Amino acid sequence: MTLALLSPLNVGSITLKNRIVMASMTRNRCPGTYPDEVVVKYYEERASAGLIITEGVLISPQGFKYISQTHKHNYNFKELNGLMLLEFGARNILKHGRRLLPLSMPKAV
Amino acid sequence: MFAQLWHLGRVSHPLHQCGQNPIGPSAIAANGGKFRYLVETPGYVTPVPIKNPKDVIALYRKAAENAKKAGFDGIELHSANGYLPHQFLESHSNKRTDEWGGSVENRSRFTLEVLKEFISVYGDSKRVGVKLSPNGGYNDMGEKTFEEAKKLYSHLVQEADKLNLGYIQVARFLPDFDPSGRGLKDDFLAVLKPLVKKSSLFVNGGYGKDEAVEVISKSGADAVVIGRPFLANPNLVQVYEKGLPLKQPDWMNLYGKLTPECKIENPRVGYVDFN
Repeated sequence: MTLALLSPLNVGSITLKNRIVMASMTRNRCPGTYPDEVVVKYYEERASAGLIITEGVLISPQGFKYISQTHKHNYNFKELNGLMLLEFGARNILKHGRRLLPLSMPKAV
Repeated sequence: MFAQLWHLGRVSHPLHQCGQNPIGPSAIAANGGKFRYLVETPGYVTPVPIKNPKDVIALYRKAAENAKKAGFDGIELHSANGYLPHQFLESHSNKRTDEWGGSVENRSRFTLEVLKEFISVYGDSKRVGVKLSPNGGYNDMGEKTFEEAKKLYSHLVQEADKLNLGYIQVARFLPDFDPSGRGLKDDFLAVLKPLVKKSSLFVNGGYGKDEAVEVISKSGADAVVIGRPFLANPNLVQVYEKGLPLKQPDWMNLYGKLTPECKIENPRVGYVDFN
């Protein structure tokens, strides 16, 4: 029965190793909006998912409910991430996570 | 790994963004508005209507370019759960009289235009996905009737599918995601499944293992998007494969415990301590 979940799925040129996709979930672990090595570890540990969809990454500075207004930037943890997570953190995630890429990405990045 | 790109629209709060009001399709506030780190219930505020949606679409494009530069395999547009693209979609939050509001076609325009930008950035439509929650509920969303919602989401899904996306992710009704009780409880998967022809169809919404198997083998979903079980079971695939017991999440640390200085006390706790 479980086979239905464990069979591969082609999405264009990407082959998902299985059909269990990790949902995007807010985890509030990027102080100062930068995902660090702890965040990288979190995603690495879940690399057996057929595909990981990251936590929501805000595309521009916006406030949200996951940080206090007393925070030095007055911003939500992710609000700058539209640029910052993508420019810095993700590179970090991908650099450290390179070994997990074949699961979701057969071709070299 | 796909990056989910997100804009809150009207459900942000001025106290969280240096006093600036949030933006939205129209000057209509969402009902409710409890903010985790603001005392009591300050409520959602009335957003400033966006003058030209193309300006915001340009921000999405920039984020997509950054995602590609960073090396993400693809990107997902968060067009669900009451955030900005969803606010454009539904008739109660979008009262615009220009080409971005009114008809189902016009209300779908924002989501579809952002998807087209994403495709143009990645140069491969399969590297783009979209997340939808036709039942509404969360963040005060949901059309009044199933018929209205069916018309809207059928049009949107048909048009999105024509773009030959990697996937269309459809979230089902979940009581946990419907604090105000306005969400529709109807089965949209049955409505939308026949309309998804070129893209993969992902489903989301509290699927346990048995239901996940069933929705793939019987209801024609291509993959199941699973959230909460991944919190405490980083090896979830193996857990399902071998029938191992599921560990329970550390709910108290879902978002980390805050110090009085508003720093996360120990980010690892309840996050990377499940092995």
